[in-house]
Amino acid sequence: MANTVQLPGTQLGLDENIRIGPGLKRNHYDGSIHVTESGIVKGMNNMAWMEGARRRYIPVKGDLVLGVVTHKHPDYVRVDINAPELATLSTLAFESATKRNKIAINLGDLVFAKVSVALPDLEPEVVCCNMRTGKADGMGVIQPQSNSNSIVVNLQAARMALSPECAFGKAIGKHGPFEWCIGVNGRVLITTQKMKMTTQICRIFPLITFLTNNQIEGLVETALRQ
Amino acid sequence: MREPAFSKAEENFAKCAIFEGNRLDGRSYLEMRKCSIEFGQEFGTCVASIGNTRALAHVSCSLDRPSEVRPSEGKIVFKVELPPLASPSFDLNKKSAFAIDLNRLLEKAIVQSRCIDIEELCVRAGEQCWTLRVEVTALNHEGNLSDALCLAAMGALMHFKRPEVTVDGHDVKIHTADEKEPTRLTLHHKPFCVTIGYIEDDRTESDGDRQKILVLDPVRQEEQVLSGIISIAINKHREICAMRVSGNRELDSSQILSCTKIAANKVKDLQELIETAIKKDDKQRKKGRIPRVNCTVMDSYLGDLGDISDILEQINNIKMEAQPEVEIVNEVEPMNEDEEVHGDEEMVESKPDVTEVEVITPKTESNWSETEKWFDNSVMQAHGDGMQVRYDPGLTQMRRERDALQLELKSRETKEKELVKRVRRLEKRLNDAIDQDQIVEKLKAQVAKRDKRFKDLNAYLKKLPTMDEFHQVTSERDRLECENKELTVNFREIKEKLGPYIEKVQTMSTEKHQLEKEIRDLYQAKSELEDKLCCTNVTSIDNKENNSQEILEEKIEQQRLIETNLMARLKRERQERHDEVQKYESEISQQSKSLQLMMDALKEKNNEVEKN
Repeated sequence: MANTVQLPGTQLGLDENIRIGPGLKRNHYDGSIHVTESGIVKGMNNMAWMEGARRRYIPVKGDLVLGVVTHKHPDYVRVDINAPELATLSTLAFESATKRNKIAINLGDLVFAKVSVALPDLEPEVVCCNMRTGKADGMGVIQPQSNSNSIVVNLQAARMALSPECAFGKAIGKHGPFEWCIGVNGRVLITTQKMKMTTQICRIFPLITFLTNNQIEGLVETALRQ
Repeated sequence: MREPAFSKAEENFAKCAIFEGNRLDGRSYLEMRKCSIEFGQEFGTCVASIGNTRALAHVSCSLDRPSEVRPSEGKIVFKVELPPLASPSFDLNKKSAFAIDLNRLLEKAIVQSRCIDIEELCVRAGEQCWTLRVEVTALNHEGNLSDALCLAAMGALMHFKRPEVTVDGHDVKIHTADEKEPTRLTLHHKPFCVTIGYIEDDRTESDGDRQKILVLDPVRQEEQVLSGIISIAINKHREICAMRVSGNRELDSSQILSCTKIAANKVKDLQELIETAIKKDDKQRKKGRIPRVNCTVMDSYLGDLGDISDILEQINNIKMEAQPEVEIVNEVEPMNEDEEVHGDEEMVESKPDVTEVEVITPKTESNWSETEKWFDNSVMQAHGDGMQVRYDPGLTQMRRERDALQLELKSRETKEKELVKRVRRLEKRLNDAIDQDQIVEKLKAQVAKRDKRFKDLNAYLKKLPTMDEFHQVTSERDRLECENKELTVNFREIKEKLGPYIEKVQTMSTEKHQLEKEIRDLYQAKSELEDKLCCTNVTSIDNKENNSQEILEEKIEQQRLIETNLMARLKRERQERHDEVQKYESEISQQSKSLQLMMDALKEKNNEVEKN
């Protein structure tokens, strides 16, 4: 059952106590589990999920996402996080931001934020600091740099690049210094010292979805050979 | 819906990339993406793709009444559709400016440039003519949509074949495919659209006369960044059919001319591409392989998906079910009720003169086309719009038999496949059984090893002392430890007792020394007195001599008595002390000896305990 390719609509014969992740849905009357996203069924311990080439992000509380500012209002800013709705980001939800001392944030800026409210019928809300401690924890407006490009990849590729088991980051690192900011919503910002390297990484990033580590290393090698 | 937002980082990067000559996908400024053309099953369907941008065009024709103003010309209806399938920002109902713009450009390029011979489309002047419907749909918008739409439209028009018509007085007979081969449209010229974007190089400070960089075939990300776009519809003969310039920066005339030159060069390649594709398609059809547009996934490297054979089977089944029957059907649209065509129109379901290799259609209740339903009914009704139909029972019976045979063939093939699968499964099981035997042998060897180890361990265990012995030894050890403690306590007490004795001995020795000192002093005094006596004896032998002598002698005697007493006393004390010291020393030696013995005993016992 695990590691097979399934199409949406298929019913999986899984234990009812299993915890399900993205791509699977449970029928609450039946207890049966259905596939909603085509891809490969994966399972580990007591969890099961789908790994497919999905691009649309459904916000989940606690996710770290990379969004783009689309509208600016006096007290808040609307951020596009590839979700069905635009998210709101209050201008006070930054480290050391008060009503008098506001963060400079403009249209088209990239923002690394955490989803704080994500309910099925509401607009999602994101924040740029830890609401309890008030610290930024790495979140905030990403300052513009040279040779940095942002692309939208499918969620699986973003998750793989974040995972420590995947050899993508290490393979790129062999060719030169680079920096990337990966949002779980599929948006990725890549910065290197050379424009060509950034371009190449942006071209191969969406292709790593279904590759094994060896194949990824081979792909990176051919792409960044110079 | 909306597009994914465009960030400043992407904008800056796209601009910098273009300024430095590295476009986002590694192309040069005037290089076009990979173009490809695919044709569908019906003549007149074409899917064109430029990179990931895809467009579908479909051309169909129907008989209609010509317009009164132009009675000897056919009609062309041109429609461009941008469905939400192509991009999240497209809305089906809203007529966006972009859609209208594209529609106008293509219409100008294809229809108004008169590339299609309209007069050929006339059947009977003033009465009947062909109406060509060209419907172009965008399938995916990844930049440069106008080029893709135009390419698809031209491909469809060049591929399309309309049925032959013979006019016999008032009768118009539309021939079916096997009566007369349908003809291609005559195209006077073939216009193709080439889009060039331009961006102003704003790295320089000066405001006027900034250089404009031309970028052929811009991608989505580049399109957002460009200062303007110029689309030129041009044909092989360098005749411009349509042109559209949009954006917020002007191009001057020399630049526009250079753009047209670039476009003219590209058009040759595009036309060649379509012509080779059409030739290939014709060859394939002659061989009998009717092409289908492949469901290709957009340029993605799928990698290792594992065993997807069952998914591929499902896909094949779906494809098979969706196949319409391979029959050239006369798509005769409803005509005006005034005119009745008394045709001996036989609804002959005719196969092309070609052996079918792939398509076997089961008789399913598919909603695919209206025409299929006609064949399902055994009664052919006269069509409402005046076209009469004759029903031939013999033919239908033959057709039924043929279909039954085909079904049987198919079922037998599926059975064969199942059997093959079963055989494979059983072979697998055999192999597994053999593997299992090997595994069993290995396990037996391991078990033997384990038994041996078990035996060794048992023997070792027997050699070890039992629990009782262990308890005895530990209890002995405890006992010896207690004794040890007691002995140490005793040792300490004895030490304490000896302490004062030792002190006493020391004090007595000091006193002894003092007494000896006194004796020496007394001896000295005595010697002095003797000297004095001598002096006095020598000096005073007068009256005083007797008295003084007696006195002196008395004194001397006294002193001698004292001396002897002292000496005696000293000797006595010395002896006493000596005795005491000896006594103490003997005691010490005794006790030290006993201590030694005890220590030795303890050591032995400790060794014994350790050994146990």
